[in-house]
Amino acid sequence: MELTIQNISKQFKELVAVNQFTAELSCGVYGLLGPNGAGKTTLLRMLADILRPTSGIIRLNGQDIRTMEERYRDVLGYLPQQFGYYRQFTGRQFLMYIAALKGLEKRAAATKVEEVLQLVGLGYEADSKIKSYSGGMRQRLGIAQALLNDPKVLILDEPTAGLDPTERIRFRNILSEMSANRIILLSTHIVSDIEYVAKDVLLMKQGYLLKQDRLVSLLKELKESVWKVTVDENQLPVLKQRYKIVNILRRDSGVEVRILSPDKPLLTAQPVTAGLEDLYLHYFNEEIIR
Amino acid sequence: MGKSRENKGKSVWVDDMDDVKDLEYFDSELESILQQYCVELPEEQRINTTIDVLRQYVPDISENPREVSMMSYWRRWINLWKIAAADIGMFSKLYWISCLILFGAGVWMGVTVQQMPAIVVILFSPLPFVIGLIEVFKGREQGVLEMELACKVSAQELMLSRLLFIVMNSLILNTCLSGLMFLVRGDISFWGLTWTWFTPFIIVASSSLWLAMRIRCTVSSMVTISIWMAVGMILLTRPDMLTRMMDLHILITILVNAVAVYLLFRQGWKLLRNHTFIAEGSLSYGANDSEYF
Repeated sequence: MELTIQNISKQFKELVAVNQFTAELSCGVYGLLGPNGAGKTTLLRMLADILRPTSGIIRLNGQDIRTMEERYRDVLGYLPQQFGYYRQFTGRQFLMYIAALKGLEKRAAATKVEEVLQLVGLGYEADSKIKSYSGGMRQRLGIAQALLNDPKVLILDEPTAGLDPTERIRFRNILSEMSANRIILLSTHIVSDIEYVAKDVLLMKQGYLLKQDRLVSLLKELKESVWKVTVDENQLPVLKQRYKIVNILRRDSGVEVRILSPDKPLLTAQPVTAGLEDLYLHYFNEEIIR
Repeated sequence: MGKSRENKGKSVWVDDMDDVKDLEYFDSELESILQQYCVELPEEQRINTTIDVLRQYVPDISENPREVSMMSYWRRWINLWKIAAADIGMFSKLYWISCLILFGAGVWMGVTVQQMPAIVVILFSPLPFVIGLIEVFKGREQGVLEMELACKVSAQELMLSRLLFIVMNSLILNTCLSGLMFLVRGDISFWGLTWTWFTPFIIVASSSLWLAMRIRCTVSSMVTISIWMAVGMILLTRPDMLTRMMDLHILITILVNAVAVYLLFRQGWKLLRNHTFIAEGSLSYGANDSEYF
């Protein structure tokens, strides 16, 4: 299975949200990483065939998804960034409703609904009204609806927003188990989500694809660029001015600072193994959300 | 060399042993040569992929394209009703309760109010449709539309099927109301009463749909109901106005109805176009596109 994104662009009046984006995705989990406003959601909406690209083409196994229409939606699972729901529905009713829209037969739908409810850990609350759900439970319901038709292409926009650490780990494990025979594209700016499950990382900035590579290869670029050093409190402002600071940890012995720099920032600085957070800061120069 | 060939022109027999040996040798030689060019069969999956890719270029096999178009039209039409039938269970209880209350109130008033039963049907006829519009647009209002758009049954089909259903439900309720009043009172014409409510129904339906496509549906429904109630009050206090309206020339009434039906269909068509993709303003009531990323 191959999803080919070929020179996709999307322009909203003067604003180019996605610009000449090209990528090839095969089975596995792909992490789409980028700061707010990078065009991730627009790209995912085009991939979900709910937003028409200004130019370019998206192909699944060589076939234009726009000509595939229903056949593409048949293999598509999509979780939008803002998950809406009908307040008067229970979790089970909502999933049955979405299952009907996905064209599942009633009996098959009931079985599948039960299965996905168990998978996301909502079995015990399935018959409660969605309006009584917590944010995390609603998000899990959103994930469940995306899995209803056993999709071959799964597009998830910020799926872990609102999930607690246990739920996030559970979700990551679900994704890993499912990734063997599916294309999963996961957009987030929570880097740790991607770090554990993604086969490839796609870095996106201002509508462009900056890089697409294996995480290991991307991290190799930062070899000898990430440093750890313990300094006094009064040295911290100077370091902040001169370098990109990834992390500050106050200990009894002083302030432990993680610095991103091509050169050794201080004599006492020790090189450390780079992580995805360092990579994020390197490319996007923004504060990291753990 | 060889013997003469029997049954010349029908079947050919080669009797000469040398010729046969030559042929056998040639066959085996040819086979060994062709072995070098042995083409392996592609995997099943690759064959299927190729078929899938080529499917888009396969034309519809039909001698009569018009027939196909008609069949496709009917299939889509039947499909819409199937969706509507499946979707009825998803309608809010509030909609059903409102319809029941309106119908009950209509029957009660129509039977008990002695003067001008027409005003009762006129006032009640568009209300089930206006309330039903909230159901049509609930996906958009509650943020489910984006998810619905990505499903096999498209959001546009879903909205159109709901729209068809609320139109049908309103027509049935209004016809039943007219029928009951005709049966109970006996002093009014059923067809006259039906004709009386149809015009305001279709006008209010098309204008409320027009409004609902532009602003939040709950607001548009409230606005429409308020305006309609105000119109009702005027009609109640000024019976001469109603008499004048009902005495309008039949051609004018037909013309007004035709325009209103046309506008309703036009709005329905626009509804389909606007909800094919989210870029056309289906998520935020036609707000600036830049909100979408």
